[in-house]
Amino acid sequence: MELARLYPRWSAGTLSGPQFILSATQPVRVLTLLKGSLLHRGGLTDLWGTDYPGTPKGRIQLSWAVWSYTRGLRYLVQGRIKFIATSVVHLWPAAIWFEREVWEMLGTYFEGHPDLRRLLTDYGFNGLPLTKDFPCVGYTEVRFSERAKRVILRGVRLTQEFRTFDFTSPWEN
Amino acid sequence: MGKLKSFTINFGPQHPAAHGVLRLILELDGEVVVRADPHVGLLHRGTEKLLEERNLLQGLPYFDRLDYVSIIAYEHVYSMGVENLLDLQVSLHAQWTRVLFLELTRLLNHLIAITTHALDVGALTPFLWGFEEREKLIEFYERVSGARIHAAYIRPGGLATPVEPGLLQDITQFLTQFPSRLNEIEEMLTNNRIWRQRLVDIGVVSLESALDWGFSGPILRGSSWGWDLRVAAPYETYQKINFSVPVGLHGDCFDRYLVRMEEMRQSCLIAGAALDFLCSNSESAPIGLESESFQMENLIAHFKKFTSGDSIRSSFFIYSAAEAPKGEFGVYFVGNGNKPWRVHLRAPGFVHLSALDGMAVDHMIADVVTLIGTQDIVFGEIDR
Repeated sequence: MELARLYPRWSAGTLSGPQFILSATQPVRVLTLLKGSLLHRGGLTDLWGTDYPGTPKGRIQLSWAVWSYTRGLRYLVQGRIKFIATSVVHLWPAAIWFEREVWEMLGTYFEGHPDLRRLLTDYGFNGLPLTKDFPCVGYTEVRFSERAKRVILRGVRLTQEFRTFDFTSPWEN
Repeated sequence: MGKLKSFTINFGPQHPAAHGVLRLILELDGEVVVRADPHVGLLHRGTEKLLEERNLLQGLPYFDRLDYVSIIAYEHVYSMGVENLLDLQVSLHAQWTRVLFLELTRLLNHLIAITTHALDVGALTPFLWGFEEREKLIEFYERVSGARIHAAYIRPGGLATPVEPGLLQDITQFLTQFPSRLNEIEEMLTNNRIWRQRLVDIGVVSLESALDWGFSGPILRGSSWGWDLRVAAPYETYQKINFSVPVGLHGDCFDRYLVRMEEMRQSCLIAGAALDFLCSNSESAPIGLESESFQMENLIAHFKKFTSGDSIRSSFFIYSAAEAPKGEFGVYFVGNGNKPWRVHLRAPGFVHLSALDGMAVDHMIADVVTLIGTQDIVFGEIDR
């Protein structure tokens, strides 16, 4: 079957980026509405969090990317969260891993999630890697200890200073 | 007799059928899987965090290392995102060259997906034949970019180097013989009794659950939904090419295998169309450095651009996605001066693996290998 022949409208335009960006104070309500009516056929394709420290509305911004396959539209729903969010697992099971990742990387707790466990970081890892106050090199490193005859954790020791170059010039922006 | 209890085994991380570093905890009732719990993250390198420390050009090589089987497809999505962010125009010639290499990359990926899948199920021969072809494709990579695997060939704004005509000729030659190699692989597999017994009606994903799980790529198409971003949201020059999107009917492993085989044939067609354009139109302007950049001021400007990178307005964001061989790969970007504030990567394999539990329940333990094979798992992208 040829998609372009079946749905000629789809191949007409180009989508560069999301078509609809919805900023919501209660994003889960918007998502429930989307799932119930607007999407027709589609699903949650992505969920991620961004850290903006010192924002009064809530430090973490969550973004849900939802495709409507029949309409060929992507909805990006964004909302600020003060560390407790509502899970959308009951709407789309795809959210299970997405929410686990956001929880371990940014510390956002998802109410109603069946099992929030670590996903990408090491077993027993401490810290929230994607928050802005977590340094890029981290705090600990693993190495094999000749004395203990096993892999141990120790504080990061860099042989060379961690370099970041700031190229922004003070007189031009 | 005592009561039978389900027991738990570790599948991986050193199991060759785990396709890398998957630690799968299987809860079994006899030989039947009750629960499959993938433990991932053994290859986690914190790419998203690292990208926050790099400027736009420095970020590119990290994308080669995400899915190390379909390399150019991933750097292309990144380049496209940066181009959208900075509003750059890519020349037509570069766009067609991109399409050519994107489709060669799709061949590269599907060859390894199908042949290692067959290897896991017990057929060694297609693997050997497929790798012969992969070697040729990797040599094309090497000739065009100097690197066999981590090409860094598609760059924001264009390409690293233009393609030389000799290479185009060799790719044409490759594409004329490649479909018959596909036929050979299909002769070995498609009507093979063992292959069918292991794949037909295994891991059936209904359309509803495929959508609920957020599937994309060949897995979604195997579940009878013809969603392909090359058609649905065309980028580069895909609009100008006539090709079809194969769709499965039953959503089982065998349909996904057939979809991948047909996609390879379609990729040959698309690559052929790109070659037609590239062979008949020679590039007028050089892609990389302009010739006048050998003047001092231009060199200085060029150096400055390369070291400091372009500045992105803060809080300006973009989400760019394209059809990578494994499914939809997306990059989300928030600007903050010359470095991104946040980069998020949407890896198709991550989404597919999260549904492994749902796919594997009530299957035999031997089918888990088939399911991992059909999901086409590569840990570089899942763990990021």
